Amino acid sequence: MSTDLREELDALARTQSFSPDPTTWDRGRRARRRDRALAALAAVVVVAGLGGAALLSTSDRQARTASTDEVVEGGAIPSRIEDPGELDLETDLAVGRASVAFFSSAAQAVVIGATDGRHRALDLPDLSLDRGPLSLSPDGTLLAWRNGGRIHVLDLDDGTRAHYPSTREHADVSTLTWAPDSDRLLWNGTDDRGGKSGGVLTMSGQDSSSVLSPSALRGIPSPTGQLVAVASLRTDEDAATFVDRRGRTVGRALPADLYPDGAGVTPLGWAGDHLVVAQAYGPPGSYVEGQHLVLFTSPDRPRSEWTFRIVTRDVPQDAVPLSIAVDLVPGLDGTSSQRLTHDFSGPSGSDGPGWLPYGLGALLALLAALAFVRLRRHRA
Amino acid sequence: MTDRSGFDAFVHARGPVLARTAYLLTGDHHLAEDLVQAALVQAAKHWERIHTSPEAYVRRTMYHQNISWWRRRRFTETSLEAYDAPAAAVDPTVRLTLEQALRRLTPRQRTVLVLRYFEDLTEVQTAAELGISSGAVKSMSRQALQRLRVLAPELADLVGADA
Repeated sequence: MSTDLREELDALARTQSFSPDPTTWDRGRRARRRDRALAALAAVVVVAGLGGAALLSTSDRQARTASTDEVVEGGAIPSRIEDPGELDLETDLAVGRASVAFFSSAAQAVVIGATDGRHRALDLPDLSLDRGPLSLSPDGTLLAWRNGGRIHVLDLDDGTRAHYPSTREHADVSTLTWAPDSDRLLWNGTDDRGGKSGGVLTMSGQDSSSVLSPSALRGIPSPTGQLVAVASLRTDEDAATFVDRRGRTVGRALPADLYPDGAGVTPLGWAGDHLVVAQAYGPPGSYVEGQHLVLFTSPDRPRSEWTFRIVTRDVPQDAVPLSIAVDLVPGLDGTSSQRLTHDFSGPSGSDGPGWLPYGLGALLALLAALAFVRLRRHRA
Repeated sequence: MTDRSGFDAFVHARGPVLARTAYLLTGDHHLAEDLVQAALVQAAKHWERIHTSPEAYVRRTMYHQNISWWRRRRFTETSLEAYDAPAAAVDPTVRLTLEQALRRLTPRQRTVLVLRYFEDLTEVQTAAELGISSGAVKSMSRQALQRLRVLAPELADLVGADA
């Protein structure tokens, strides 16, 4: 049977002709190159995917906070102000406009880029051991610090630095605050005899059109010059403290529903003529416990116009106080849904990490799957 | 000898033989051409790796490729013919009847039949080529012959009454 069947199959097979296709070799080699390119692409996608996953899951805040490529025109306050831990020090100090400045838990002077949200640790010269105040101007372009009586002001745009040597008047400096015009730096300290002193350094060297009241040095003067926002002495105050031009203390009641046991308020600047940006501390039992940023109407406006907004709850609990470029806080539009900060790790208006990491992950997975399918189809 | 000339020499020498096997596997002249060309493209693609024994690679590629193609066609083509009904021989010659009957076998059955009775491979060798067990080869071979007898009773002498 087998022999007969084989003969019949052989006879049947001989009806098939064969004419070689001269392009076969070239097609095979092209397929080989294409497969290699796809394999390389798939490898890149996998590596990128793994890198992205590692980045998303990493606890290294430096990598997380330094990775965004997003740029916000004009700048914004980040919705999360994280302590990045220890970062590589930037020796080129021309890092551009900043939104936030503070000393991190690693005792580094950290600024957050106003437009990209990146954390940068600056290699500032002549830092004191106690670190002392680090003060960012309201427009986010100037950074001031001191060591003893020496005052330094760095221009973040071009990296140039102004040095104000210690004098008899400021033998030691304890506070540095900026007037709303970002031109006048107010300092408090002691003179060479140990007596209290204070003064104003003008960056432009020109006289300002607005005159500061004598009480201006007690806190942060408002753009109108009518009030000075002053830090609370305790953490259970039921009102934020202001001083008017005559030196009288004016209280601005805090929302009792948010802070039933009171709170501590440290003003950071003025976002408008009558809007104060402050760092508040809510004791346990508060609506927001711990350090957070708030925005509220000053007491020189009628109570009917008062508002109190929480800017962000995510601030370093140990790095107090922060210094904020308050000009980046937008003017209020009257709606409670208005976003006052920007989420640099996701799309604008998102509170969480946003869809971006998940979207990128899905895209990478899709690309990898497509590459795999194409590879299989070409091999089939 | 360069890779290209070595490949061309192989195609020139073994192409016709491979095409015959391809025809038996597919039962269609055009599909057979496509099957050989597809296998040769794969051979060109992996020539550096298989140039010492390209024919074994091309044959194995054809066996698997044909089954793979059939799987794809199965979901896109619908036969209007009664599958198990004995086929009426249009041409009284045995060859045409065998050709028709072979087309009614499944690709796996046909492939086993070709390997066993045309390529003269043993059950073990056939199993190795197809990546299946010897028992499966034996079973499929028996089913294929039984089917041929059902489809074309006049082939009983050719395929044996008890094969």
